[in-house]
Amino acid sequence: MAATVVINEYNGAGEAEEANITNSNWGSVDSPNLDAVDNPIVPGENSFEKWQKIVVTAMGGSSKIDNLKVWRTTALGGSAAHVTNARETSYGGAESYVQPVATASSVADQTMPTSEPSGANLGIGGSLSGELTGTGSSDYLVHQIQTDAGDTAGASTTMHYQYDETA
Amino acid sequence: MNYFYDNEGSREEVKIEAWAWEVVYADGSVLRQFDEGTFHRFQEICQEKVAEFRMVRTDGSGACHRIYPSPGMKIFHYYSRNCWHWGTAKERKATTYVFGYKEAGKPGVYHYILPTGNLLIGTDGAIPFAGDLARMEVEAAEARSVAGKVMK
Repeated sequence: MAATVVINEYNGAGEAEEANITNSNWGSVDSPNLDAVDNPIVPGENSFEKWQKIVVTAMGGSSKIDNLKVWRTTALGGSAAHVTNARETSYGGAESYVQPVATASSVADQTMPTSEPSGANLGIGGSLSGELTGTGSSDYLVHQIQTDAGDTAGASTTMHYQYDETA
Repeated sequence: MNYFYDNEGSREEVKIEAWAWEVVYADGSVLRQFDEGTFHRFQEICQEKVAEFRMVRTDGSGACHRIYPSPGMKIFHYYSRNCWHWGTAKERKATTYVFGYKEAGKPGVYHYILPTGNLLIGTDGAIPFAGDLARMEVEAAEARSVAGKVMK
């Protein structure tokens, strides 16, 4: 099989790990796989940050994973913003975990791309040119939805994750 | 057929891909990525002896894309894996098969085989959005499939 790659999410003060998440819904609670209907973001407020990693659990015969890219497509509701620490230039290195907050993120200070970045925008080992040659994980991907008072609940968008795999 | 990679004594099963590489060496011998139950890594290729590198569709259709490296050219190959709606019931994945060659002092030449088999060729950075194109192909194919069912 090809390399097995999953997304893990980290929550709470203790960095509780939820392996292989089943959705990336943002909401008013710091929780993985949350139900956005039950935990809506009040217009004008922010979601809790998402702290996630792209994790390789098996190489499946491949020798290298690198060139991680994240972006989103489809519009957010109203004038909401989607912010992240992912960036193609002046990458800040690997973030150290802090408990996710619902105040404006001080870590996620870039706009999430809405089309595929031309190069890696999420690092491995603190570098955009980093690579995995065995099981391991990316740097933290931190992202948050920041809404406007005029926004309406119920918007959705599509997250994209991409990597190169050398067999 | 199942294929296995011998990783320093531990045997790993490797699922066959939609496209796989083959190299023909100058002496006429052939090394295949998936060959009689054995999976070969790209790094096993002896680059200096390659006369032809080809990507072959593994469905038996015979579809094939070839390059003929000149001395000094270094060939490369990797998968670009794109996933959206990751983990959810709507999860979709698309693989773009990327191969090409690089030569000192010249831009690399990249060949992108998209999910439908369409081939794009460009130099370094010329087609930076292959992942987005792959996703669009998958979504368009799904839309056509749904439309076909509605018509029936």
